[in-house]
Amino acid sequence: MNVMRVAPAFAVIATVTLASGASSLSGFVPQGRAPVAGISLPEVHAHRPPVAFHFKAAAGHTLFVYFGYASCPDVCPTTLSDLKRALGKMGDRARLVDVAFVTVDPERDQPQLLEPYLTSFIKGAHPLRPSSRAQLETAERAFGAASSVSRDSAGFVEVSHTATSYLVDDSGRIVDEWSFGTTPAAMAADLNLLLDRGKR
Amino acid sequence: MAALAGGILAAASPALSADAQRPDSAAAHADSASAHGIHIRDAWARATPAGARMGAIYLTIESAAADRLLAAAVPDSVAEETQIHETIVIPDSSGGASRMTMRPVAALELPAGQPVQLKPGGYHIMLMGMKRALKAGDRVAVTLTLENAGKQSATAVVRNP
Repeated sequence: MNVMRVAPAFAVIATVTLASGASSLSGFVPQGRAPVAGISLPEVHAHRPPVAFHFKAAAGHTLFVYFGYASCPDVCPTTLSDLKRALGKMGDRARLVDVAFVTVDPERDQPQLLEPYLTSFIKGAHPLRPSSRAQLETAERAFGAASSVSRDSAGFVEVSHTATSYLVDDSGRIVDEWSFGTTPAAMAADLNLLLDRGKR
Repeated sequence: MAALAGGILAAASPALSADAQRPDSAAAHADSASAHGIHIRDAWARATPAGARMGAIYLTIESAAADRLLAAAVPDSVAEETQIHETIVIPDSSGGASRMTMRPVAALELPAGQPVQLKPGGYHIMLMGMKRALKAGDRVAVTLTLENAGKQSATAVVRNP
């Protein structure tokens, strides 16, 4: 049988979520984490110079943030496809969801590749490409993410990365986290709840 | 290609045909059965995102007798190399963020009579060095090598999940 390994922390979250009812977020709500609005990374485009992107949703919006890489055949495209389906369930409100994808493999994910890759899933999404390992790690630490890229003697590149999706509000606070495998329906429900909260 | 449903794609059939007019669902649930009691069903490949050179094929395989899946292959026109991979979680021993990565699987156990799913976040057939972008509706011939049952063919339907 297919064994899907789940980090112990995720198992605890699932238990809490089951007891919390449909009107609350299905994801994990991080406590005590510093706002990420002060962190920025270069947003790259295939045909224009990079601009600084700050981790903060536009006013009244929710920002989705994911750390991944374009050569990822399994978890990254699965998450982006699921997000695309979630946005498809939200009708006009999908416009209020900002999407940012941080490459953890900037050497291979050049701007000419990264922007078309990301926007083939979600138009208008923000492709973020750290200009140094230190810059990437600063952003990862702020979110509680981690990654590594190693190359073996045969040239095979092995990448590992946190597969969590982060939701950030318009003040730059991380207000929700989804572990890998969160369904499009749960994503859409959470996004709608977060947008409702933003209106108050 | 019209006679695909319910049968095995013959080895001589076109490896990959762009047939976007045909609804995915017709063949996506096609079963392949063999004299060795191997059933392969729901084989699908992810449509290639722009610029991506890696891809994945997923399927469900069931063997009447215990067997092991040793390898998978696609035509040279699709990808340079194919490996069976498993996505795994690496916990952080110091309490930090866990990470996901992939590792090659030398042999995937197929317990007798139990369906084994290759699915997102678990096992997948990784296509490395894609030669062309797969588009929804395309079909990809997949040849699986099993320790006891030998080579088995299936057809993966490309879709935007």
